[in-house]
Amino acid sequence: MKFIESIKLAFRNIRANKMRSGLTMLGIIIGIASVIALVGVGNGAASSVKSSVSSMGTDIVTVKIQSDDASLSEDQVTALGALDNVAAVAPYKSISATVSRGDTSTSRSTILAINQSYLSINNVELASGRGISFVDLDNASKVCVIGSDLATTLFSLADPVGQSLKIDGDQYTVIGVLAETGSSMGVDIDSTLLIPYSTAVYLGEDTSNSSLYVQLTDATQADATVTRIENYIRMTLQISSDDYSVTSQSSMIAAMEDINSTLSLMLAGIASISLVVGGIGVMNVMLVSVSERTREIGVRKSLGARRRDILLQFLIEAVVISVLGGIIGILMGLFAGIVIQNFGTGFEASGDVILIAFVTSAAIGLIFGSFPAYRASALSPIEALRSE
Amino acid sequence: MSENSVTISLQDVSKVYQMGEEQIRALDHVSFDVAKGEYVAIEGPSGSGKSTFMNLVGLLDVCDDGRYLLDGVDVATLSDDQQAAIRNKKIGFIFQNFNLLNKMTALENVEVPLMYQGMDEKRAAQQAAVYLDKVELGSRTDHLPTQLSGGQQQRVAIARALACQPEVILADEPTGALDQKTGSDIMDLLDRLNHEGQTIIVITHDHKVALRARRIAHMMDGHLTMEDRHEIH
Repeated sequence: MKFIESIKLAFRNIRANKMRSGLTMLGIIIGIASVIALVGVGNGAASSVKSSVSSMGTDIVTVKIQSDDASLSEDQVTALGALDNVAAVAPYKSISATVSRGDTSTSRSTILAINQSYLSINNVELASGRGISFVDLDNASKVCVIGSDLATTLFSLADPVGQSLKIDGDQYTVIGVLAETGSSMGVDIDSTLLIPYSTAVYLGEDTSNSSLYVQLTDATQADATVTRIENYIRMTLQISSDDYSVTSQSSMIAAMEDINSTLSLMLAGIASISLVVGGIGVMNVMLVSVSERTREIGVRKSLGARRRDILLQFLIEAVVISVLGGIIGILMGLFAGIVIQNFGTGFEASGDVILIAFVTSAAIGLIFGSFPAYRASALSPIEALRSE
Repeated sequence: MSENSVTISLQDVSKVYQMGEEQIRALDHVSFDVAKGEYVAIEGPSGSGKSTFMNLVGLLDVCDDGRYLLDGVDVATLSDDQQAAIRNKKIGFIFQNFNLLNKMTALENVEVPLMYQGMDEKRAAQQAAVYLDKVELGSRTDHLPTQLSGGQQQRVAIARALACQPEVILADEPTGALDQKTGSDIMDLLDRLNHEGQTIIVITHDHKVALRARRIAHMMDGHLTMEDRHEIH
């Protein structure tokens, strides 16, 4: 029989047993839909993490000295800034202090002591006023830039710029307000207060430094520059590589992607279990179908059907059921994704996953349909004709 | 009858079935020739081996001993696929219980053997319609078997058997499931086909049915015991 006629025959048989075919498909539909939905959620989570990491820009290198008795001096930071391919350095220090204005006070607010490059390196925008300048740093001025949440807490709706507040009892002038950014890299910048790096001495800090961001001129040379910075730190501070870390943003992204692909794979694995169950359903129904249609198989053989014709007939039927289930499952999975998105969770369906799901459903039909189809084709025509 | 007009030639054929402890000789050294255009009846009670005879002649089963030449070809030498091709092209089965495919229309049932020849559906439908016309069912092509009477179903089965222009029609109790009148009509149809040159072998336990044939062979306990030759009045 011609292949196209075999396909038509399969569709006819599926239509003739709508209920049974539908229930069989359901197994595949649930399997494929959950693969699409879970992988989509996995990818959505991955890309939201990735976008928060890369919001800082790929041209950033993070330097941290973890040793308690070693840190970079001001001059060493300046020297680091003069290294090849380094555009700017932004040392920062996180201090915890009480911020108050009038009767309102916040206990243990995070205060970041920064230089003039910090805001631009971190892509943080100002809503009003100005940022920390050279002059502020030189003079160790008691000025501050306030995060949007903290501004609302202390000043409610009034414009904080030009007003004053107190940090641990010392008076500071607000020179700028940050635009709302949400938390980034584990720092909730919206409820933070930024002061000049040099001003931190008033809060009991020295000018030594153990955390800084380095902005690169050419992001493609990140690896070489990381090595250069590492060498500089090791030479000047005489500490082992366990005591400091120099991480480029791109290597961080790579690490995140690694975690995410593992996560996606795990989700796909879980969903695959339901696909296997669906496949067993296909096999079960095809076996029932073969025994129900034993007589038909006998008649077909008496009319000249070859083994191959019978084999193909049942195999195509199994594949068509699975593929139809797969297509419906893909649509249901995408629909589930839209629903999930409405709940605010990221969802990202890729063409690859859809293609893989489609091919998988066809493969399930082939794999789980081949045993029943073989059984049908191997039936002896007399036995088959004799059956009721 | 000349040697080269012989279509079916069974030569000393035996078939043994193992039934538990017992061995049953369903066919015991049977030799039998059927020439082109002949109308032969194999008459015998149930269990006489006539179904086994039909299965062997129809290539649904193979003999344990002896030779079966169909159109001069020893069927034992043929592969599975070649045997299927011969069932398709050279043999037309008519069964007692019609054996139509219930979810297909009359036309589609007749199309089935044509499609196994590799014909596409359009051409198969054209040819199937011709044969349904021939059995006077041209107006019922779209009916399902369940919407047809027994006699009409058997006509569909005959059309299906004829569709591939077979060498021989093998009819196994063709009237067994029909009433007297309808059965007689079906036998009239077979008579007519034979007059047109169609080789027919009827297997039956009913002597009245066997009398339609020009030659009757009696089957008993696996032996073909006697042959009557008579002219149809």
